[in-house]
Amino acid sequence: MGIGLYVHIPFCISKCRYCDFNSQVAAEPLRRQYHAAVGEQLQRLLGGPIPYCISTVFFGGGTPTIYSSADLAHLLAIIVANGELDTPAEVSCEANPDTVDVDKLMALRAAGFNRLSLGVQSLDDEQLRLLGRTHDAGTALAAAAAAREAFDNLSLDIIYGIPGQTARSWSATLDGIIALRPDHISAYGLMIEHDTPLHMMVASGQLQPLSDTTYAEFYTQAQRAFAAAGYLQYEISNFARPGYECRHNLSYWRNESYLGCGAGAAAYLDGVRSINIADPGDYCAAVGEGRSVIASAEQLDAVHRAGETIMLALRTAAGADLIRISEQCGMDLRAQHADIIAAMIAEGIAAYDGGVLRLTPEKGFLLHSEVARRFLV
Amino acid sequence: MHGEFPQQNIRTFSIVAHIDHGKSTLADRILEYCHTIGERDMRDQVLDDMDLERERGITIKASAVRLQYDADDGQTYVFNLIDTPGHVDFNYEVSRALKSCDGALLLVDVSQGVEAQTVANMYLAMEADLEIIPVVNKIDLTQFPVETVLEQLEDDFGFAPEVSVLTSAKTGAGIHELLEAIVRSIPPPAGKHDAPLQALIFDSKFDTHRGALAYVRVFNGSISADDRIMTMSDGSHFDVDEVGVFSPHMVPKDTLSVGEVGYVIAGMKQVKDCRVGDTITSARNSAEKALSGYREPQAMVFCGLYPSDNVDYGVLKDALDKYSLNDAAFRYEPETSAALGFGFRCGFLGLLHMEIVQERLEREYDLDLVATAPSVVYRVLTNDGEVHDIENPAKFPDTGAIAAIEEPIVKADIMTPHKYVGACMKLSDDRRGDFQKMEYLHGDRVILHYRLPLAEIVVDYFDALKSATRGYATLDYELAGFQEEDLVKVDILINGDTVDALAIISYRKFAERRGRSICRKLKKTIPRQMFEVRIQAAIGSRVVASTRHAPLRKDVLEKCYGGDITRKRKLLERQKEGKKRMKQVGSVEVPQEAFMSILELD
Repeated sequence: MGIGLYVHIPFCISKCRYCDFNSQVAAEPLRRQYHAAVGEQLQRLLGGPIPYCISTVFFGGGTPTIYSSADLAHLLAIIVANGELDTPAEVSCEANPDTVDVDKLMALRAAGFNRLSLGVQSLDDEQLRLLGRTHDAGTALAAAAAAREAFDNLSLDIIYGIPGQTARSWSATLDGIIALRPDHISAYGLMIEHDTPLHMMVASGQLQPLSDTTYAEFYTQAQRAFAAAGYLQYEISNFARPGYECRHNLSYWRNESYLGCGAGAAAYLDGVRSINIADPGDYCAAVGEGRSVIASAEQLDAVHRAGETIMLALRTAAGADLIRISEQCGMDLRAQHADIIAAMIAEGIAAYDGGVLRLTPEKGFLLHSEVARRFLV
Repeated sequence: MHGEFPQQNIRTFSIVAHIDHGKSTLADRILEYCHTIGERDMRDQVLDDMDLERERGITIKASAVRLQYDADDGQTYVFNLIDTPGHVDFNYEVSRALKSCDGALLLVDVSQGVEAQTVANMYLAMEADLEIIPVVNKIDLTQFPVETVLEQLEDDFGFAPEVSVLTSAKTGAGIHELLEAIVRSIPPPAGKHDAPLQALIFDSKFDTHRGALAYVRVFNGSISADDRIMTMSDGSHFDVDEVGVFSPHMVPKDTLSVGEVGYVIAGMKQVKDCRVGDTITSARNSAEKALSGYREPQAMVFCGLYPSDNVDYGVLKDALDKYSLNDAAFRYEPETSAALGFGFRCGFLGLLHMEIVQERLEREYDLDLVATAPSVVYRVLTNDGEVHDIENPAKFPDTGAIAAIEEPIVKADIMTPHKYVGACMKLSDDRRGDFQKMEYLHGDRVILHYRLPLAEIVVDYFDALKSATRGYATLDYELAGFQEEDLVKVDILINGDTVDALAIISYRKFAERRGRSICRKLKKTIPRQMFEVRIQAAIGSRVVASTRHAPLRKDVLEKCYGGDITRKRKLLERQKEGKKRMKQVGSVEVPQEAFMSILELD
């Protein structure tokens, strides 16, 4: 079985108001330099004596499609030339509506990308403006239609819980998204992160965040709409037509190994989690000087590894296999947490079957942190 | 002349002051002028020797230091400076320390003037019959006229302006005059060298290597190494290993003679062997009677102390064993709670004492403790004719088995300016006080004599009294037996389970109100959880108050992909760390503060 490879593109046309990811608006020279550096690191990473067998590739950002299709094709070609790609491998690319058109998407498809994840976020112009998106609903719809034409495997990202959002506007976005017939939908609750313009707007009283109850209602609303349209929920925020679950992301939640390339990209290999230098300029310098790009690394012991395995697995509909994880970490998790497991079952927060603990989509998923904390050290 | 110095050249005094009026700085300055301590070894505030005392600004343990002063009359004098704590929990300790003095410096900050605590301390000093020297300090602050304070001292206490000494502990101005005034005004110790030994223990301390150390003032006779001595409260005999003085570190001497202040080490294994207020005499040639005023150390409030993490039980036990060696008023015994696991029931002088002990245990032994709400000891008479003294409400017998409940009563003396009498009486009446009589003192001061249930005053009566009188009232109380009362146990249930550690005993008429108030308090301190949390107060099987926390609807971190995993795990772990001080009661997480919060009154 192969490994996942993540490639990070830390650039955007402009920074969204809610965004706390590693992305920035950068001038052309840095973008060129970075493109070369990523190519260089990919070559080094994959060009060892024993090639990695790669089953999924994910170009994420930022906005990978800030680069031309030729640029992206070039990087993918390096991967194909130096690694051994599974057949069929899942090769995803994230895109934003105002950086793609049908020709570019066709070119990406032709270059070997076979899954596109498009950041639509909302079909309400006012909400898009509030989020600081550079596109309107019309642009997003056009991009999604073009992507539908170009890709057999299309995913759309949307956001709920936006201040000012109503059940009606959310419903309109949900209907609009379903009408675009994507194979996969990621629906994220808006988190108001520190050090973002949105946080400042909330802190200053300019914006009123939605209550947890409304947030939960919107979540339920999405779950029902997607279920009715034939999508299965396989993770807290992810829905797919059968067979279209994102293999790359599933491997994260199964706590499997993966490679990371690019500024701030994370990797998990042989029980070691590492993170690359986050600043694109510093990252380029390190690559240029032949230095290691790793900024920090952590070797996990069995107990912490088990904690992560549970934390991640509980995000999925498949749940956490407590018997298997107990064997791995040498603790009897089921016995240790018997009280809380029983109470969660009684309250409909979780189900327990054949040694597997699953959070229920109705009540459990939204309490994931509260449950996961109980299982962490 | 029997010691190194003639008895008439000894001056023993303490400094009484409002907090922050510069007591410690003045003490330091006196020490410096007497050349007992080099500036190099001088920490700020020599007399307070524990971090905790510094932080809280309270002196917990009295301390004594011996100085030598070369006076203008060409003679050398010995000064004994005795420090005192300042809270009602430690009133008894203060009274013993003052009893060991012949005089007191009444310190007033020129920028603050006479304040409530100045008055209260002045009163204590007068009660101890001390010669008082008023000292107006911080005169370097020239924007404050000295005259105002001098007038206050004259109006409030009748001190003629010329008897006050003006100082600046900061610049050293007036210190020489002060030392001369001490020589002139404070009388030398009375007492006879050839009378049988009477030495008052006014403080004690535990030293890991040497055992208990008694701080003494010799009132009659003398005490030397190798003497056989007896503590008069219980007739125990000990052989003296060493006597000496604090200068300010321990300096051994052959003998402590009449009038001298110092320490005695005599094979006492713990401070309980040398009780504050006890009289030491000679085993062979005993004094006829002890010095007056001794009281058995008496625990007034009790609470359960439990380790937050059950695995720390052993560490806590060890910590209590060690701590109790140094605190004669503290006692403890093991107990178990269904909610909290294994812990100890501990007895304290009062709430401040309890807080200090808890803090010291946590700090010095790196423990994380849960304290249950404090309780007094109740005397329960059961139908089978047995009498039980019960310190833990959870241990009360079933209502059906109880014939009568008695609670401890105190005799309380409240001294207050006349204009606050109404406020003091209202407060005391609200706390089920039984007014005895009112006594008029000189000036506009009165003493109110009350009988009050101890349970009503241990928690915050002192604080309430202080705020009702803008700090001017003083309180002293002592136990005055037990009295039958209509009391009930109020149980607290969380999700239907009785939580033993949250039970309280209440006056029946107050019980429902207390129950409602506790439910409200708990709702505030217990965070929302993934389950509904129902909090109920019940008397017997009757639920008298009830409240519920709706379950948490949402607690989730969005987006968890490759780069987020470590960060999110760490975030959750940190949040969990923040919850470590929670106790799991059934499936509900109850924070530590909840156990104490039930005491706060609305």
